[in-house]
Amino acid sequence: MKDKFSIIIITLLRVVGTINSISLALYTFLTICAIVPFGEDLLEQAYIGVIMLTISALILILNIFLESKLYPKRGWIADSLAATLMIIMLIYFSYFIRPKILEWLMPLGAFLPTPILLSAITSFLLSRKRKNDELVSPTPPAEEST
Amino acid sequence: MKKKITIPIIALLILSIIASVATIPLAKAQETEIKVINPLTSDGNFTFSTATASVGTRFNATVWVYNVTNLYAFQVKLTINDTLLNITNAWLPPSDDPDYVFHGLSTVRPSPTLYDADEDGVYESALVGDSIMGTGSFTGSGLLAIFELEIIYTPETDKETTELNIDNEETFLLDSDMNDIPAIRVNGLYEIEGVPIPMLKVEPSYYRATRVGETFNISIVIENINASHRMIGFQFRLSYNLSFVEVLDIIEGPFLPAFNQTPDPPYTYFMAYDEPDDPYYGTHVVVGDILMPNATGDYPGPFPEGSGVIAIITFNVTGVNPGTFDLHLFDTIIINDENEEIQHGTLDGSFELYALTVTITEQPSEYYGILSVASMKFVVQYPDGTYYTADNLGSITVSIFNGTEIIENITLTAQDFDSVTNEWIVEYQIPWNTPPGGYNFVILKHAVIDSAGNSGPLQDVYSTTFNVVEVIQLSVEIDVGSIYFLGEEAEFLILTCLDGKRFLNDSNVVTATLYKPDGTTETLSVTTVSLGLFKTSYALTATDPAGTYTLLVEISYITPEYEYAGTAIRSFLVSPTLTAWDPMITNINGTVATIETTLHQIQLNLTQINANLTDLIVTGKGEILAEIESAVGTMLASIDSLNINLTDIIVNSAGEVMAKIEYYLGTNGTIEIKLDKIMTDFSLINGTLVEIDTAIGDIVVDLDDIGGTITNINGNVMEIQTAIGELSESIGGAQSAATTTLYVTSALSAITVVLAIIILLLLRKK
Repeated sequence: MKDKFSIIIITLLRVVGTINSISLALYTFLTICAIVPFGEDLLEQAYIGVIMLTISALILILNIFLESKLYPKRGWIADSLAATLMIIMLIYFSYFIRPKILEWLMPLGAFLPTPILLSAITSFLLSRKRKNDELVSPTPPAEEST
Repeated sequence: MKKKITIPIIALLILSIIASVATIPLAKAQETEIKVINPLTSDGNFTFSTATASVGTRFNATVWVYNVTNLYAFQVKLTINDTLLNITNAWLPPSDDPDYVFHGLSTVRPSPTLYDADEDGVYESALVGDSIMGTGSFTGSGLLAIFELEIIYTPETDKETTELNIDNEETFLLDSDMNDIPAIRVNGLYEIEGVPIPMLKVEPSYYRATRVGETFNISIVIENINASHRMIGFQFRLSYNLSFVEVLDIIEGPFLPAFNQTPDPPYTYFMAYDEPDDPYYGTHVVVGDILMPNATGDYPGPFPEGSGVIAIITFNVTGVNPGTFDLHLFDTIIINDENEEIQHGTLDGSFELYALTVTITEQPSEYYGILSVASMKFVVQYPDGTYYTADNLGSITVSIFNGTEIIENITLTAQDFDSVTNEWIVEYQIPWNTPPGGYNFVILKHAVIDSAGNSGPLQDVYSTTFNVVEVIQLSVEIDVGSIYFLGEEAEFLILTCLDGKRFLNDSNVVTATLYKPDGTTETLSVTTVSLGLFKTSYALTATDPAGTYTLLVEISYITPEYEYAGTAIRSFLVSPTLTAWDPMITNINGTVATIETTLHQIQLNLTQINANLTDLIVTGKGEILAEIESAVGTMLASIDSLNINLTDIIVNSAGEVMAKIEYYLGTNGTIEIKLDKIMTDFSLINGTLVEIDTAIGDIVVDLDDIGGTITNINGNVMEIQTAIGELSESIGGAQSAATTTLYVTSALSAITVVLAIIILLLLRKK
């Protein structure tokens, strides 16, 4: 029962993370498109950012649907990857790109990848707990009931 | 006379025949000869002179054979110089001519042949020959052939000679055995000597008359006559032009009477007639003269020889215009004692009436008042049309004629000549005591003399009459300002009154002359404002000198009875600068600016004062004024009164943003000033376009032109840094929605994370 509840929270965090990625990608792309006429040659960076954030969102979406099937014990890795992509983009568009198009959002913007990171941590802890549980009782519970 | 001459000739012929007969035995001992013989002189010489022969004269040359034996056939070829002579004919002597070698014999008699080898139209050789037919021969001396020659060239003075050549192989003799008979061929010698032909000539060949009434003689001279011509008389006609001269007298010259043929006068019969109206020959004189023969009707001689005057004609100059004509000798005859004409030539003369002509180009006015200046212009020309200028000046005297007598003479100087129009100007200030009446300028005949002594005109030249009238005084007042400025249109009013009432409305009688401080003068144009009131003006330019100007107004209105005259003078100051009077341009209309000063309002022509906008300055009240530099100093102007336009915004090399302003102050100009002096606001209006609002108008420029760069993004607001300041502009549209979304998701993330952590911790405790 505790695990199920944790999985619901993880899923919720991943959904929020997905929304964050999409929002971030959308904002980045629209902003760069708006300032390009002013002589700012940022379109390539906009495309790269959108692609990376889209990948991040896709990873999270896949993770939501594949959590308990294909990679039940490796979901936290995908979350970490998605979070990493988002963090890189967030840092780059906040501090390295000129003009700094996301600096205004800090420090609130720092919460954008935190749902994904929390999801990854929770997922990691959950996978460790499952592994321990399997080592303590190797007989499947179904056989016990029979 | 002729009988006396023939006796010696006959005697000479007899002696020559005897001599020739006596020499025949001796000749036989000599060789056979073929000779060219002149039938007139019986020798080989053909001597002529141009006194007796001329081109076209023909003569015969015969060819004889001497001391020939057994002559059966012969041929003679004669060759001559075809530049002097032409062989016009050749023939064999008639068969019945006893001198002919084949006289009485039956001969072939072929036709002679003439040759023109060089095809110049002149025969230079001829071939004549004959041969006996059957038996017989000739022994002795006899005539072979006859050639006719024509003189085709005569030298004028020198002697020309050429041989009548038969010494060639085609001249030969044959005996009855057809053997060549040796013979000496002796050529003839042709000579022609050029001797001058008698001439009738006009002396002097050119005569120049300079005055009407001048008389002069023209002599007719005969030259190169010699006694051999046996001249006894002559006749000639001499043409002349009645427009220039008339004949006063014709007298016989001394030459012909000097060769009198009678011991007592009259030695000659002299006739002369003036034919001024001859319808056939035109105006001319005809003169004839002939020596009187002696009592027997003969001319014993001596005959006229050498040169001398044969007639003298006296002319009187009557023409009044310069010109020339020829004294042409024609219908001339010189005869000898046999009434034969003697060939001769003529030489014409010419006459020129040479004088300066005077033409009045500007007549004096019809009326002049006392003390006014009457003037007249005229040109003086030489007969070839060239003008008599100051360089030619000898003396020119113009007289004043009052209808009965000359009252004054005016001598012109070189200063009275206008080199532009080539006119001479004579001015006469009418003395105060001159009685009213009509007067003329007169240039008396020969009153114009040049430096070479030539004079003119040939008759007096009168101007039209000018009338001197009494003067009635007018009062004249001038209204001028006390001070004017360079560039200002200075206006003056003139009031004319007669007996306290305004008088005159014709501005043409008002003369306004402005005297400048530098000594120069300017004649101003005057216009009528109303009766007795006139206006004139002068546009002071930047180059005009500053200082005191004086306006002199003179009025002269002349009627047939009176001259209404008046004079007034006023001075005013022209200041070089307006600076001391705080000038402020209040209005500009075209090139004329209205300027308010502490003195009064003035109007200046901006073009004349080289006005230029130099700066825009901001007053303490925040008002923007234009600073205008000009030749009259610095002026200020409200920018609203100026025609200025903001045309561009540029960033100079120092990085300053400058406003480029075009203006019109008489001429177009541009100025660049710092934009911040006049800028009131600026904003992004469309895309990258920025509208800049200034005190002199708005302008839209591209963000690039003012160095605009985006420095920061704050949500949906971008901050743009430009050379003229910072701009904050909302991006708008979908980006604003994305901004809001991103902000919300960030906040939700924070909340979600907190809640998730709490829930996870609670689950952990359970």
